[in-house]
Amino acid sequence: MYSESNEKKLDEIISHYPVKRSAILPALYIAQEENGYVTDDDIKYLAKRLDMRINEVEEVVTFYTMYSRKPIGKYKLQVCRTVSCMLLGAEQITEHISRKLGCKLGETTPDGRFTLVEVECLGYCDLAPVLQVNFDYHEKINTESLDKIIEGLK
Amino acid sequence: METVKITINGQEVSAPRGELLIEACEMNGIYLPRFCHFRGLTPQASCRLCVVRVDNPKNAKLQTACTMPVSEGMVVTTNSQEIEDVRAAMIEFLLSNHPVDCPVCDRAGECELQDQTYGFGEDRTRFPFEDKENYLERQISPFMYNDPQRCVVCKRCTRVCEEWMDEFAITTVNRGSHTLISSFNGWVECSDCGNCVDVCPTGTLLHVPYKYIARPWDLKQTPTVCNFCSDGCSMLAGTRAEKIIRTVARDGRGRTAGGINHDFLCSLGRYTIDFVHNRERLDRPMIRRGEHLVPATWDEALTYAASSLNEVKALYGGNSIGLISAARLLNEDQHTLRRFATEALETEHAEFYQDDDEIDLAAFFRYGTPTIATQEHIQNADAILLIGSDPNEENPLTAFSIRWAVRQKAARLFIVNASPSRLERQAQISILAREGSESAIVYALLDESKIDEAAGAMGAHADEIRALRRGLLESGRVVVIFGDELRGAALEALALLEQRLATPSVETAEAAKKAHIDALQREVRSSNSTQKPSINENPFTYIVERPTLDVGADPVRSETKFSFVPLVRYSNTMGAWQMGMSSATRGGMMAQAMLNSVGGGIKALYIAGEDVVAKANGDAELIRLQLEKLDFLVVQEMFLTDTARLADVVFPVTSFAEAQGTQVNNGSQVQFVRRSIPPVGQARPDWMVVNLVARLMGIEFGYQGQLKNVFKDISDNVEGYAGLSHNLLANEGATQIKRSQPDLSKINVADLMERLAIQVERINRNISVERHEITEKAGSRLQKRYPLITRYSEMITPKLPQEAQAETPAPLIFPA
Amino acid sequence: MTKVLTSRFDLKGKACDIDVYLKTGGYQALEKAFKELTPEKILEEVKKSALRGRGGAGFPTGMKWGFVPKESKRPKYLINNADESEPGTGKDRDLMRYDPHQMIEGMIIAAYTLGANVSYIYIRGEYWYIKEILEKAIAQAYQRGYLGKKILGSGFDHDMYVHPGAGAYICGEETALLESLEGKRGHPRLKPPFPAVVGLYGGPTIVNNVETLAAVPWIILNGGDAYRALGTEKSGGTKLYTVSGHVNRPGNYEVPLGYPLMNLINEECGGIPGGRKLKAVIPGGSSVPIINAAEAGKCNMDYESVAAVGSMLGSGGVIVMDESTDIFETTRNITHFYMHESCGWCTPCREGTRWLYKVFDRMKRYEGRPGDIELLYDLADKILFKSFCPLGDAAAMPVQSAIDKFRDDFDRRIKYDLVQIHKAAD
Ligand SMILES: Cc1cc2nc3c(=O)[nH]c(=O)nc-3n(C[C@H](O)[C@H](O)[C@H](O)COP(=O)(O)O)c2cc1C
Ligand code: SF4
Ligand code: FES
Repeated sequence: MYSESNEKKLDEIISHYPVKRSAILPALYIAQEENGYVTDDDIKYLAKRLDMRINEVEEVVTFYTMYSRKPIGKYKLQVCRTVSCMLLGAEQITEHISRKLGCKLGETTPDGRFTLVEVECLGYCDLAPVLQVNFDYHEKINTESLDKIIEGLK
Repeated sequence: METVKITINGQEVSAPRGELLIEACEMNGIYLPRFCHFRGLTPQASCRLCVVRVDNPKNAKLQTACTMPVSEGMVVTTNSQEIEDVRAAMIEFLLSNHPVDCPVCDRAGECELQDQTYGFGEDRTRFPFEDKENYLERQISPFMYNDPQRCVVCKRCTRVCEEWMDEFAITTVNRGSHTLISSFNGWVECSDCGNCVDVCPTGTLLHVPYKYIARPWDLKQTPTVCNFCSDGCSMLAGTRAEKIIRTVARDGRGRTAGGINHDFLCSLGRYTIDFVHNRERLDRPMIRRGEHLVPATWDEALTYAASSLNEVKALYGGNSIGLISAARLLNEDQHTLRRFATEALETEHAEFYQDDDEIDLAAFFRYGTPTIATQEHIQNADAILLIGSDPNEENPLTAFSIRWAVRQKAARLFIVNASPSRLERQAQISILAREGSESAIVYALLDESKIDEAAGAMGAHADEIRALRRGLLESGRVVVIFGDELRGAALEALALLEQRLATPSVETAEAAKKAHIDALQREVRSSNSTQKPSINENPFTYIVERPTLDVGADPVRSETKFSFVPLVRYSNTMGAWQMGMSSATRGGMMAQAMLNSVGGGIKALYIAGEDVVAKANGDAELIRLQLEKLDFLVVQEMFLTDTARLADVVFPVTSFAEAQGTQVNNGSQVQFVRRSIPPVGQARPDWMVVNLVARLMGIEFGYQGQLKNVFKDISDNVEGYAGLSHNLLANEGATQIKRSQPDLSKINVADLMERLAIQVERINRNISVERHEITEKAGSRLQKRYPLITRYSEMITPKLPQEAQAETPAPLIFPA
Repeated sequence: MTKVLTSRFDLKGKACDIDVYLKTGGYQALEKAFKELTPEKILEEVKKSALRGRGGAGFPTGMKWGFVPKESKRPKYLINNADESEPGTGKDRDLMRYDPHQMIEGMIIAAYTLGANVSYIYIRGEYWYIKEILEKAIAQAYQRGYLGKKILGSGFDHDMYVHPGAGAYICGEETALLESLEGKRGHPRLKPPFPAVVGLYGGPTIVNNVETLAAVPWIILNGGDAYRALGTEKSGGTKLYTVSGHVNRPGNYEVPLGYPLMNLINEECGGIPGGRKLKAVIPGGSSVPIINAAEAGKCNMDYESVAAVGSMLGSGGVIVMDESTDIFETTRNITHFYMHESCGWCTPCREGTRWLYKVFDRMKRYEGRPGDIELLYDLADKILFKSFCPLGDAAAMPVQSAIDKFRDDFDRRIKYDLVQIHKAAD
C-alpha cells in the first residue's frame, strides 16, 4: 500500500521516538495523502507497522480533526470561524464560497474537487479573516481575493 | 496492614495507608457517588461525581476522592452544600442528553444512573427535550447492543476490555460531546465475554440475548456456580417462571454472586445457559424395545435396570460391569456413583471419563497433595510459571488472574509452551518449545546442570531457561500453572521444586522485585488510564501503583513457596478425583480401557452423563460398535446423545441449573451449587437415580433420599472434607480442601530423576519448533469442549440478522 | 524599545538561513552557555530574569526547570509547545517562521541546563509549512555542530525533532500534549505527578512555550538582571502580543511587560478603524475574562495589573472589539470553540459546553427563554473549577464575565412571552 519512498519516510519518523506508536500522527498524514482520507486498510496497516491495536489507531484517528475517515474533495477549503476572524467577517466568507461553489458547509462539490468546512482558530488571528486550502494559508481574504484563489484552483 | 488516621466530616476514623479516599470513606460507612471509579480498574477521575473537600491550603479546588490516596491527618468533608450542589450538577449534566427512556430500558431497576440520580440528583431538568441529539441504538457485536445516548462515558467497558481481557475490542471514538463507545468501523470483534455489558452502569450496553426479555425486578437471582471449565466462577442465575434467563457475575446494581471471580464471567458461562430449556431435553425415562427406545415410567425403568445389572453380575461377576461418570457431575453424584460401583455392582472399574490429553492427576498426587493455588493466590503471586495449555482459551478466569497479577502487582510471568498464547504479551520470558517437550523444563528447574540438555530437547535457548530459573529462584511466592503437557515423571517431580528452589531471603526477593519493576521501565506513579506509560518494548504490560482488588486486606499468600494449579478440564474433575472416582487407586480399568474391553471382560456399562461416542475423536464408529456389543447399557443423560441412543435404559437427569450440591475447581476449592429452577420434566439428580437403582439391587446407602445425608457421608469419609456441610459452604463461599502434603522422605529421588532423564531423552527432536498464529477469538477452544451444550444452546450462536450487519458499520464520524 | 524576541522580524524570514542568523548575533548565547557557563549558572540567570511562561499559565520558568530531578533513571525530555491554538494568538507562528534559529538556540540551552538529550517541537498540524521551515533550520544546526553529538566540543549530545499535531486545541495543554506525543488520544493526565517529574515516556519533562524558549538566548547573552529590568519587578522582560480584531494595524507587537493596553491599541496598532469607540477587549486569548473599555483604559499589560482588572494575561492574544460588536455573538462563538475542542474526558466540560452552546444557539434565534441568562451563568459556574483540566475553566470564564459586563447584549436575545408583555402593559 505504501510506496517505497513513503516507507523510508515512515522509517525515518519512527526513528525519532523510543516507542513506535509515537509516530502515529505523522504516519497518518502520509497515509491520508494517498486518498485524501484515512482508509480502513491504512488503519490496519499502521496498526501492524506501529505495534498498535486496530482500535488504538481508530480512536486516535477520530480524535483529531485533521484526519478524515470519509472521502473528501481534492481541495479542502477551511474557513476559520473563531472569534477574531468572525469579527472581520468570516461568516460572509463562508457564505460567499458556499454560493459560489453551490455546496453547503460540510459538503463536497459534485465534481469532487472542493469540500467546504468551517474550522476553529487557525492561529492567523492578526491576519484575519483566513482561509486554509489543504495546508496553504490565505490571509486577509475578501470576496475578490477569494474568487481569485478559487479560480486558481480550477 | 498499616493504617492512618483521617477525619471525615469531623469524625476521626482509620483507613489503610495509601487506600483511595473513596474506598476509605466507604469502609467507614460513607458512600460517595461515582461512575468511573470501579473496583479493579485503573483510576480515571472523569465523572467528577465523587468530589470532596480536602483541607489543603495549597489547593483550593474540590478533589476527586477516587484518585486521592489517604494520608495521615487528612481532613475531609463529604457532605457540605457545596459538594451536594456539584454532585447534583454532574448528574444533571449526565442526564442532559439522556433520552430518559427508562420504561423501555432493560437496565431500569438495576441502573446506577437511576440510583445516583435518586440518591444525589435533583427532581428537575433544565435541558429541553427537543434539544437532545439523537443517536440511534445499534447492535455492535453478536452479543451487544449500544445505545450511545444513555452513555455516561465512564469508560468502564473499555477498561474492562483492555485490562481484564487484554482485547481492546471496544474503545471510545470521536471527541468532546461526540465521544462514543464503539470500535474500528463500529463492529466489535472479540471473545464475547460480555463483561463490558455487566460493568456498564447504564443501559448503554445491553446483552442481545436478554434484550426485552425480563424486567430485573421480576428475576429471582440465585447465586450458583458455573458448570463449564474448571475455574468455577460464581454467578447469579436470573430466573423467571421456572426458566433460567440470564447469568451474570454482577448485576447492574453491583450485586454479585460474591465468588472467586469477583465481577468476571466468560462467554460460555454467560451465553449458553438456554440449553437447559432446549426442547430436546429428556423428560422421562426410556427403555429399549427391540430397535426402539420407548418412554417408560420411572418404576419400570429402575426395576429393569436393577434386575438386568443383577443378572450380568450373577453371570459374569461384578468386574464385568464398568461405570463411567462425567467429570462435570457434582461431588454428591460422584460419591454415590462410586459407592454404587463398589457396593452394588461390586466392580473395580469406576472412573470419570478423561480424554487422552487431560492431566494425569494420579501422577501429580502420587506422593500427596502439593499446595494448590486459588485465583487469589495467582493474583498475589510474585512469579507465575505457566507450562502448556492456554488459559486464555480454556480457563478464562485463570487468564484474567494472571493478567491481573502482572498488571496490578507486577508479578513476573514465565511461559513455556509449544503453542503461542495471547498471554505472552504479559510475559517476561516466553519460551516457545518443541511440541511434546514441555516436561523438560521441570528437569532444567530441578537440576541446573541439565539446562543445556533440556534446552536442546525443547529447541529453546539455554540462556532463556537459565534466566527463567533465576527468576523463580529469586521470587517469593511462585504459582505454577500447568496443563496436560506435563506428563509422567515430570508431573511427579513437581513435588521436588519446593526443596530444590528454596525460598529466597526476604531481601533477595524484594530486591529482585524492585529490579523487575524497574526493568518494566514504568514510573509506578504515572498510570491512570490516560497515562499508560508505553516506553516498554511490550505495550501490553504495565502496572498500577495501587492494587485495587484486595481493598483493605493483606494479600493472600500460600504457606509454601510453590503452589500449583493443575488446569484440569471440567468443572468437577478435581471433585471426581477427590471422591475417589478413579480406578487407578483401586487397580481397576480407566474409562477408555473399559470401552476397549467390551466384548472381552466388560459385559455391561453404566454411564452417567458422558457422551463417550461423541468424545471419541474420529473413532466414534469404533466406540459405537463396541457399545453395541454390550449385554446391557444404562445411561443417565439430559439429552438423547449418540451414546444414549444405544442404551437399554436411559434415565433423564437434571442440568446444573436444577441440581444442587458441591463442586471442586482447579484451585481445590469446594463450592456450593444452588438449584435455581425445579427439574425439567421428570428429570432427577444423578445421585438420586443411582441410589434408587442400588436400592432395587438390594443395597441401601442410608441417605433416606436426602442430599444433605450424601454430603454428610462425604464429610465423614473423604479426606479434607471433615467438618464441612452444605449450610456452611452456602454461607462461606469457596472453601479450599486441604490434603496432606507430599511426604518427600517417601520419594525415591534418584529413581525419579532417572525416570525424568529418560523422559527428556526420549523427546523427539525432529519435531520443529513452530510459531502458529494466535487464535483470534479467545475461548473458542473452550466452546469445542462442550459439544452437547453448544449444540443445544441457541444463545451461543446467535442468528445474526443480515440486516443488522448491513446497517451497523456506519460509524459516527466527527466532524461531519 | 529593546527587541528581545523580534529583532530579526524585519528581515522577513531571511533569518531562517543560519548564515544570516549567525551574522546577526546568532548562536553566541549558545557558545557562551557551553564555554563560559554551567547548567547551574544558566538556571540561576533564568531565575534572576523573572521570565514567566508565555504559554498562558505564566509560571516562573526558572522555578519550573528547578523541579527536574538531577538524577533520573529515565531519559529527560524538553518539549517546545508550539501548538498555538488559543483563539486570538498567532505570536509563536511569527517567532518560528521569521526567526526559527533563535528558538532552537533557546531550546538547546534549555536542554543543556536540564540535561535532556532529546527535545521535540510539538507544532500544530495546520502550521505544516512552518514545520518545514523548522526542519530545515534544524538540519542546518546539525550541520554546524549546534545539534547532534558533542555539541561545540562539550560532552553534551542533543537531538531535536518536530512533531506535528493534528487539530486538537487540548493538545496545547502540557499533559495532553505528552499523551498525543506518545501516540494516543489527547486526553490530559492526572496531576500529580507533574511532567517535570514524570512526563514523556515516564521521564522528567519540561514543556515550554515557543516564546519562553525564544527569550532564553537574549537572557544568556545579556544576563538575567538586564532582562528583568526591561519589564516590571515581578514579571521580567518583554512580551509579544498578537493584536487582532477591530484595529487599524493588527499584528504581533513586542513591548515590555507593564506596557499600557491603550498604548498598544492606539499607538502600535493605529487605533480603531472608522474612529469607532472601543467596547471591549479580551486581553489574553479567548480563555480569559473579557474587560470593558473603562477597565481597558486602566490596564497595564503585566500579569498583576491585568489580574487587577479581573482578567488574565494568558497567552497574550489581544482581541479588540469596537462599539459595533455584539458581545453575545462573540461569546457564543467562543463557546462553540470550547464545545468543539473539549476532549470529552470529563463530565462538566463534555456535557456542560454542549449545553451552554445549545442555550446560546436558541438565544441567537431570539428564542431565549426568561431565565436563560441565569442558566448560562449557572452552567458556567458548574463547570468552573470542577473539570479535570483547565479547559473547562477556560470555557466558563468568558461566559460569566461577558454576562457580568455586557448583560444588555444578552437580554436582547430573550424572547418576551405574552406574560411579560402583559406585565409590561400593566
Ligand atoms: C487547554 C489548554 C491549552 C493550552 N494551549 C497551549 C498552547 O497552545 N501553547 C502553549 O504554549 N501553551 C498552552 N497551554 C499551556 C500549557 O499547558 C503549558 O502551561 C505551557 O506550555 C507551559 O509553557 P510555559 O511555562 O513556557 O508557558 C495550554 C493550556 C491549557 C490548559
Ligand atoms: S476539562 Fe475535561 S473534557 Fe474538557 S478538555 Fe479538560 S479533561 Fe477534557
Ligand atoms: S468516581 Fe471519581 S471522578 Fe468518577
